[in-house]
Amino acid sequence: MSDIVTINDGKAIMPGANAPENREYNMFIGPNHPGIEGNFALKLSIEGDIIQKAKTEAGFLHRGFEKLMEERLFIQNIAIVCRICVPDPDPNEENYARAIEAIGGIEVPRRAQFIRVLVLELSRIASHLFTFGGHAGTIGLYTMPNWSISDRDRVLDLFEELTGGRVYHIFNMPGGVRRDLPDGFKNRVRDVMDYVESRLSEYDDLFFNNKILLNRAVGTGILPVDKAIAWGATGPNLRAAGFAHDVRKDDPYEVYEELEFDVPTAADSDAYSRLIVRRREIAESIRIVRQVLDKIPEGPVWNKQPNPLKWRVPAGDAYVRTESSKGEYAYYMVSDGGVRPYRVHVRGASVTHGVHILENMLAGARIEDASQIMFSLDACPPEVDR
Amino acid sequence: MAIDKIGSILRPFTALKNLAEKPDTLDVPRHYRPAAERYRGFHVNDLDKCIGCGTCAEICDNAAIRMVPVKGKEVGVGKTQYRPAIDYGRCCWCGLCVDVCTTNSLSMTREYTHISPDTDTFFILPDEKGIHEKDFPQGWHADEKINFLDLERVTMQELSAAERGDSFIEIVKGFSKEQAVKEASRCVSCGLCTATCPAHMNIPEYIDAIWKEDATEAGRQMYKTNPLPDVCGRICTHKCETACSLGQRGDPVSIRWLKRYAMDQIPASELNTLVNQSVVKQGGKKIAIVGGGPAGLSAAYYLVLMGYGVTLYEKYPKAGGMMRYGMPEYRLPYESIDKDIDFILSLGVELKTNVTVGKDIPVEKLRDEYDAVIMATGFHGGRSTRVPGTDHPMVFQAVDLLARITNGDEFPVEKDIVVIGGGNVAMDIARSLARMQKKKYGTVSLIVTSLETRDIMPADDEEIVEGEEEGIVFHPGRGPEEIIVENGSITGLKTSRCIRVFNDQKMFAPEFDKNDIEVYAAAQVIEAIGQGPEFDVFAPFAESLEMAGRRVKVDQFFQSSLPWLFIAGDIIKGPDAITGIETGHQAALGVDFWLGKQPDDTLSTIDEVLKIALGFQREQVTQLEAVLAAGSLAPAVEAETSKLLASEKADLAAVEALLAGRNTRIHLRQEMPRAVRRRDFKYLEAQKPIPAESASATIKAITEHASAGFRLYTDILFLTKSKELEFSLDGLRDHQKATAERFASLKD
Ligand SMILES: Cc1cc2nc3c(=O)[nH]c(=O)nc-3n(C[C@H](O)[C@H](O)[C@H](O)COP(=O)(O)OP(=O)(O)OC[C@H]3O[C@@H](n4cnc5c(N)ncnc54)[C@H](O)[C@@H]3O)c2cc1C
Ligand code: SF4
Ligand code: SF4
Repeated sequence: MSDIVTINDGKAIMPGANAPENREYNMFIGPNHPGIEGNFALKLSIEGDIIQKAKTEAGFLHRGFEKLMEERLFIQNIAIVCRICVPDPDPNEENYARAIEAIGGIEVPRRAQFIRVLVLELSRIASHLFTFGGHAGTIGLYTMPNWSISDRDRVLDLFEELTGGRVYHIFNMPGGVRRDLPDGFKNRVRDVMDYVESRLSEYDDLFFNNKILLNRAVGTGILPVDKAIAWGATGPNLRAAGFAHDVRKDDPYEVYEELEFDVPTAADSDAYSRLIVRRREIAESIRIVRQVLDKIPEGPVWNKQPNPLKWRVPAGDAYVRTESSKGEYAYYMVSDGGVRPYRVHVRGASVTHGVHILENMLAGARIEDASQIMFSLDACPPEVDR
Repeated sequence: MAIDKIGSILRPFTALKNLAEKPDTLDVPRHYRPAAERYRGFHVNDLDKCIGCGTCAEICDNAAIRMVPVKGKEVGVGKTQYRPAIDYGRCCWCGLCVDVCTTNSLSMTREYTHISPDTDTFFILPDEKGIHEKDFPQGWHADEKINFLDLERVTMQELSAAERGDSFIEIVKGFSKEQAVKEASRCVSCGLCTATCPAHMNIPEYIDAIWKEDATEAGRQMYKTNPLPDVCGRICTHKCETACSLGQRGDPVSIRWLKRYAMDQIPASELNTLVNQSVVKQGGKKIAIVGGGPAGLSAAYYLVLMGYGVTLYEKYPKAGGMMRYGMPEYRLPYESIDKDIDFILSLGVELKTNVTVGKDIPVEKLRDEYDAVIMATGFHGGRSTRVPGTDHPMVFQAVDLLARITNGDEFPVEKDIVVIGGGNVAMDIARSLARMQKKKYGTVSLIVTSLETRDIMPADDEEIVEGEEEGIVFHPGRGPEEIIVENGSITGLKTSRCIRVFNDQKMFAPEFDKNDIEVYAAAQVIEAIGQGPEFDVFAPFAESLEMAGRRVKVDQFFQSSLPWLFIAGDIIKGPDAITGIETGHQAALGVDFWLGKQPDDTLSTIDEVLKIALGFQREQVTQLEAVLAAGSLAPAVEAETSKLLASEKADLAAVEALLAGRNTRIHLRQEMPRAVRRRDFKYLEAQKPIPAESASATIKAITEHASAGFRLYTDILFLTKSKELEFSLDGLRDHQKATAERFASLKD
């Protein structure tokens, strides 16, 4: 218990306090701390203001999804996979459905593929807006969370209208999606996209060009490109290091190949670069969403699958990946030909970013930057725990 | 791009322009924000439309749905008294239950807020109004285009009309493996069919086995309640299919053809692997069964498996009753009958054919020589219209001719024939004779007349359609007036129009328009207007045998007022084969019960549950008694343990009573939806042996054990005796009203 701050006779005793030659002390941030994403903790060894060593503490939200999936019918899992990552749930639904489709050779109608892209991009926008708020909060800029999170709500309104749920959509089903677009939905999506787009320049004034942000984020939390690659960074964190890797381009799924969009990158690989890459990705997502609305064909949205209570997926395995807002997100699924998955492994981006890379990056950082660095990596603790 | 990385202290202040804007936020629940049209809010259920199949509970990924019996809900064909109750402590609002609902009765509203310090209020039985008894607009609901269920059945291949022509080859070709598996995969395992099947066959279980390509297991499930599955797979009246929950919005599962498929996969030589033959001999007790039809055969099968010596008396040269001597070969080939019957006989049933009981051997003799007698003589007396001319030798009874066809006896088949009758027996004889006409004359000239108009003809629709394809001409809605005989030969049937068949009291009271006369030319007339019992066998006991109307009076064990005499088959209930099988099974259990032995080897689903419950209950009592006997408990613990023992003993008594009362078991089998029964199975199967290291560990284990078994008891006891456990609709309504009030008070 030596690394825990204890109280003795009303006096705080730091571990090691009676050993003057050791100026290092330990402290926790989290699991309940506004500067921590979700139920997660950092255990820091600190000397002066500088973090010597960081250890992440996960497991506060462990729900055992991979095991749960083995116990549930194929259909039942569509209701739980989204919960693996709260802010960006849809890549889970996407992977789960695509893994089954790959194993079972199930075709997805084109209209459904467009709807899936729509959902995934809206989810990316919502997730990035969430992160902006969190990131701003870590450096004391509290107007940005109010703005971006209430703007995110407009995207959630769209989800509510399309899928019946705001946060968890439970909308993808192997073979397609659960419902068609509601009447007039396209126009409302266009309106929200115009709105979010108009807000981006306001965000620039409020946040991205804010002197405080620049002072705090530029040059903070640098992840050199070689390290980023070596440590397995993906998504915006890798792109902020100048490496334009994106699953949507490199291993396209659904109808991404038919859509035009750029993959924003930045050069400096600091907290600011990562933020700016995300800021630019919103603009690209808006571009994609508009193309989806223009190009989406008529047709069915689901290929009928067998009675869900007696639904066997042929024996086989599949590895499928999706570009989530957090980075590369993959499922490895094995079916033994039964009514439940034999095994599903979730490869989320957050274990890499939120545990391994974060621990490495925090060493040498200043104590007040710990939260910001964590947010700049945009890891999702529920997904680390899953 | 507005991001220039030139930081500015002033630019953030442009945000001040928003100061005059109206805020977006709402104060919930004081202000209601209308949800989207598809919102997945709280559930609502049209309780009258809902049939209580429990499919929602099956698909629920969170076990949030519990099927609860609701008092006052009618139980009937395809309907249970159960309705889904939802635990919002578990529900994740996925809406899968809505999408899978067999009736589309379940949907969700756009209501989404419930706040209460009382966790009980999160458990509701949704009705049309939902959690707070408010009319919220509909949210997530069934979508025509997204159908989870497979509403269309796999079409059965049949011989074409041309192929059928003059042949008695079986019309139905049967499913291929792929077709059977596909058809079986449609079943949602709700068990509503089991409730309606007269024999309460384990239908979802055998369908599941077929789906798993395990025909042997399917056969094993069938033999638990039906020893004539091959026959039933072909000719059963399939009442189960009228109950099938898939029939609510689409085609019911082809239960009968699936049964046929499974039995066709099992060769006769392997039938003996399907049943448990390790029987205990019943001290040489002997039972006589009169009548080798489905009822007699079924009784024989179950009694022989229980270890009784069984002798079956049959007046015809072969056993089978109406299956063999009534139903035509094109519907039921003789091989199928032989396969089923040979297996029953192979178990040790002694068959005495060509013996007419009451004539060749007096019933009194059977009474004296056997421990019990089961009478299952069937309906063999064809009824006559008694119109003038029916005494002519060219007027025949359908059942007599059908028997002659089976026996291969010669009889005249005229060029023009009229059949009187609109039921399935009329169809059987008409279609048989049409085949014979075709063979003899190359053409069919056969008219079927019935009192009933086409829309209310009792015959199955497919029988009529296929009959028409085979060249039969139907004149429905006509009543026979007279068989016209000229110069000693029949020349035709005179008919008048039947205005109505039943009177306002729904009693049979046909009325005719005597001005609307039609004559159908024919040289031969067949009467097929129904069959009745021939009660000659009971003549010696006319004084002592109590009757109930036109039937022998029996109790729930099919035991007559003469204790040694049991009755089964058409003469007591039916008439169809599966009811005969069930009454035969019940009479066998009745005989066994009367002769003093508990039924054991012939258990069906609910019996199995009860048996597990019994074992588990006995074990608990024994363990508790052992703990107390050891005498090492602290006084307080000892008092607690004694209390527990008393309550466990009471439960044991309850389970024993349930096992003894056959009616209760039937009742349970009929009324509990699958979702309830299977869940309880799971609970019980999950039980581990109780560890015995220490007294406290034992008590803990027993308590856990008990809570797992508890749900089973609540369901069972509810349906039988305990009033306290009643989960009535009124109770829930009160509960909801209280919740609504509390909720409303929150807003002030
Ligand atoms: C033409 C026809 C078609 C039918 N089609 C169908 C159908 O498709 N599906 C269906 O489910 N049901 C059908 N039925 C009804 C079904 O056949 C009967 O409900 C069923 O056979 C009744 O069984 P049981 O054992 O009570 O009587 P039965 O099958 O009639 O058997 C009684 C047996 O007892 C024998 N017996 C009678 N008296 C004596 C005696 N004194 N001594 C010795 N033996 C005696 C008879 O010879 C007979 O073998 C049909 C009936 C007929 C007539
Ligand atoms: S909405 Fe989903 S979780 Fe809730 S009761 Fe229905 S199936 Fe279960
Ligand atoms: S009624 Fe029987 S056959 Fe129909 S779905 Fe339910 S269990 Fe299956």
